[in-house]
Amino acid sequence: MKLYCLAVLNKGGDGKVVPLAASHDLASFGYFQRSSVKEFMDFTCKIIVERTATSSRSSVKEQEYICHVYCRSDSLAAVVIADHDYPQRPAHTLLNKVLDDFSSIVPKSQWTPAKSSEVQFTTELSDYLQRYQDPEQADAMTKIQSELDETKIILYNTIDQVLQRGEKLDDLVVSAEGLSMQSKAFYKTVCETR
Amino acid sequence: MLQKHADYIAAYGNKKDDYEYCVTEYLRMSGMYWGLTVMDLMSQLDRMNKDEVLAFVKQCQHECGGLGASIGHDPHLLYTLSAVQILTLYDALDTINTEKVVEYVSGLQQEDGSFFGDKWGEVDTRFSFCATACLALLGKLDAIDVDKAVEFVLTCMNFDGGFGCRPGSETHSGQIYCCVGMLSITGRLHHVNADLLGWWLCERQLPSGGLNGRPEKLPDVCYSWWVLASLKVIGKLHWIDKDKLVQFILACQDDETGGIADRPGDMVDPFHTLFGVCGLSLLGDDKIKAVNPVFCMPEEVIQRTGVRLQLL
Amino acid sequence: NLRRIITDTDTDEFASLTKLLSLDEYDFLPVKEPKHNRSPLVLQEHKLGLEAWSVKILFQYAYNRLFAWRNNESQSKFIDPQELQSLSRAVVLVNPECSTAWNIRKELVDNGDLSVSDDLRLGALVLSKHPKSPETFSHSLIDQKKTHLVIVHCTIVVFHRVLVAIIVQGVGQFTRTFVNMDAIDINVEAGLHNLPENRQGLNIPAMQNSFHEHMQRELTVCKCAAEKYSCNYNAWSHRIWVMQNCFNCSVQVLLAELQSTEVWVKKHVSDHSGFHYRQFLLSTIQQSADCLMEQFSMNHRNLLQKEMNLLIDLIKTCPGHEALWYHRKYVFHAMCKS
Ligand SMILES: CC(C)=CCC/C(C)=C/CC/C(C)=C/CC/C(C)=C/COP(=O)(O)OP(=O)(O)O
Repeated sequence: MKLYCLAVLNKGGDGKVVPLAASHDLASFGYFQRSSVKEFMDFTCKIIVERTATSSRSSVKEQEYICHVYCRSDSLAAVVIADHDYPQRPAHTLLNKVLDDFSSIVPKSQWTPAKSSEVQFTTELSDYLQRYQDPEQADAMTKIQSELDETKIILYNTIDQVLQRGEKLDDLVVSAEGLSMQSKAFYKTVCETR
Repeated sequence: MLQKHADYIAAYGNKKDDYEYCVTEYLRMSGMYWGLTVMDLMSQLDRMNKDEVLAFVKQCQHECGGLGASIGHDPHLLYTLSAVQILTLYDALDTINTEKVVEYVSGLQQEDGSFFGDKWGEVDTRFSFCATACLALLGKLDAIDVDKAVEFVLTCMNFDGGFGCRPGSETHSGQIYCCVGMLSITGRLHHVNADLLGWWLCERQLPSGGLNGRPEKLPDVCYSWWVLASLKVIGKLHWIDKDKLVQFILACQDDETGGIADRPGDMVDPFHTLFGVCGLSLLGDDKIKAVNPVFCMPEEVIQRTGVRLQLL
Repeated sequence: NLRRIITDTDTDEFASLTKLLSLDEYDFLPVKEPKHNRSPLVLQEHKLGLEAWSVKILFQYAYNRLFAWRNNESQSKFIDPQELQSLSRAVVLVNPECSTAWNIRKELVDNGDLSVSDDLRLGALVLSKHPKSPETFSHSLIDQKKTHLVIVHCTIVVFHRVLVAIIVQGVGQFTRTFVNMDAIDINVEAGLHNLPENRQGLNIPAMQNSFHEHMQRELTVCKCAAEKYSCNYNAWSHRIWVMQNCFNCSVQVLLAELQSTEVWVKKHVSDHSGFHYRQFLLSTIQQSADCLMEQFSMNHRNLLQKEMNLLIDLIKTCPGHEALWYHRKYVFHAMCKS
């Protein structure tokens, strides 16, 4: 049961997505893979938010991982990447809390893409990431049921199901700006050995 | 498609990319057994180079009587069984010194009835199967203490009716196959609770139709063999959804290159090709020869040896 | 150069595989082409990266030379034990399934040319990359069987490798719940007459004292192993073996195990192997029900009831996990029997 990555992003009216803040827990990955894994997690957060409708929730499985996403109507979105053992409801409760917190701490003027570098929220995120590693301890358990009822969670079995017609993950990786050469090489070897 | 699978296996032995060859050499003998058996099941054994194979097997026998996976590799029960299976396929047991094989195998039995895999002393119910299967094919079951061997296997039975690798170990489909096979060869299947075990085994089928080896694991074509063969031996083959399993196995084929993979879309290999084809045979595909559920060899070959098995 | 990479012990300017013994992790790096005049080995913070292009070349060199020697080919008849050690190490790092290479190491240990602890350290390192490798577990097991003394020594090490393999929580949790070693009924002296010549004269009390150090070191190594492969059949079977053969299934140890694995299973609700390990513990404790009552004033039924409560909570928090229901079946079955 593990949470790997927690991120807040902005999804503008034009559909453009800009990462605002993120925190990672990569201790369980091999030393040499960590930087690539981090880039891939950030990349995945971005493409999933791009393809998630405003005011909706989803959980997207990809191999050993599952990405829980919540896109709010006010252009903020949050993603948490977990393993399959981590229960779905606490994950989405976490997303609620994170976005509530974010909007109360970070002034709205900083949500816009141009100002994203000024956002100070990483400490809070890493706090959440640590505290929620154990969903039971993360106080919220009792309140979960009532808090989440409004929005249905859509479940996808692979990232491919989230992509638009004609889109392919491999192509997105090749053209991605946020991925270093090393990470792309890493992705290729992972695909080849599979 | 069968023709393509045969082409794939026939070509496999020829492409000896050095690296590939090195990293798989530690299991060469079993690899050959997989390839030859699947070819025989598809009635194409004559495409393989018999003389070369026999010469190779001969060179793998050590002074102690056991055989290694390849020339220069240490002897082990796993590869000794594969070698005996290959020679049985070719009806050429006199290629090696079988008396020494019997000596090697029986020498690995321990006081509690269990078997070491080799002289270094790892114990596993897989080795109990290898030893009994090997001796049965050589017609020399009396060289070991069968009662003790059975007794040990039974100490590895769990409350769910399944078997693990050692006493107290978790139930696993592969280990079940070995234990059930061993009890079939020795005629002691009455110790098995067929309803309980059959239940656990058929719970291995997933919505995709494929079978896994343990709870909450991914399906894998090789379990079409370990699970299905065990079900066949205990007379519960009809407890799984055959059509869905056939669909799953077929989805694991590579239409272009031939061969079968562990799961749809993955790389094919001879191991999964054999077990996929064997699975289809047990499920009643009439273009494939009938396979024997205990020895994983063509039924006609086992008939010829005169080895008798118990089935429920 | 190949030879230097694999065997050199004393070159600094050229990174070599021998450094591995001081490392806690290694991995292959996705570098397809050699860069000019540079070693393919990257050393950072006690981790070693091996550039992908070099893996095949290094492996083939080591493999061919090792097996030429094994096959007694004329040009490689005489290879000294030091080099055999290096070659076999290079082979198992890439291809841990190659049991003959492990066997060569066992022979080196038998002849006194390789220390058991170095060998186990290599085992631990291999498990960091290949966490379920059956040959590696089997090799450690055999290392342990070799002599009784070595059993005590190594099992502690391997036991912890596997224990760590399941305690993701880390050192704190571990030291709090781990049993008092002095109280465990292991007779170190008993096996001494089985020792091969060259092992006598070892300082037994010192070895016992180093147990705890070994535990701590192995702890870190194996923490990674379990995180990397769930439902690790070989790791858990191995641990059961250690309980039975090295700890005589002492009720105290089993109880401690029951406590220390609870945190782990709560975090790995789909790992049936972890739950099965608890089934093993509960069944074995049940067989010593009298001792449980007399020495610990505990009742087996209560243990089962506690287990059931744990399960009820988990099934509520994490719905949809087959492993939990299989475990429940066991607990129910055991309750009916008791
Ligand atoms: C004659 C034939 C066909 C075989 C010879 C007899 C043998 C060696 C059978 C092997 C049976 C087998 C597959 C045993 C299982 C070994 C085991 C405990 C594997 C666990 O490894 P994982 O890699 O964790 O596998 P899963 O994840 O699929 O459980």
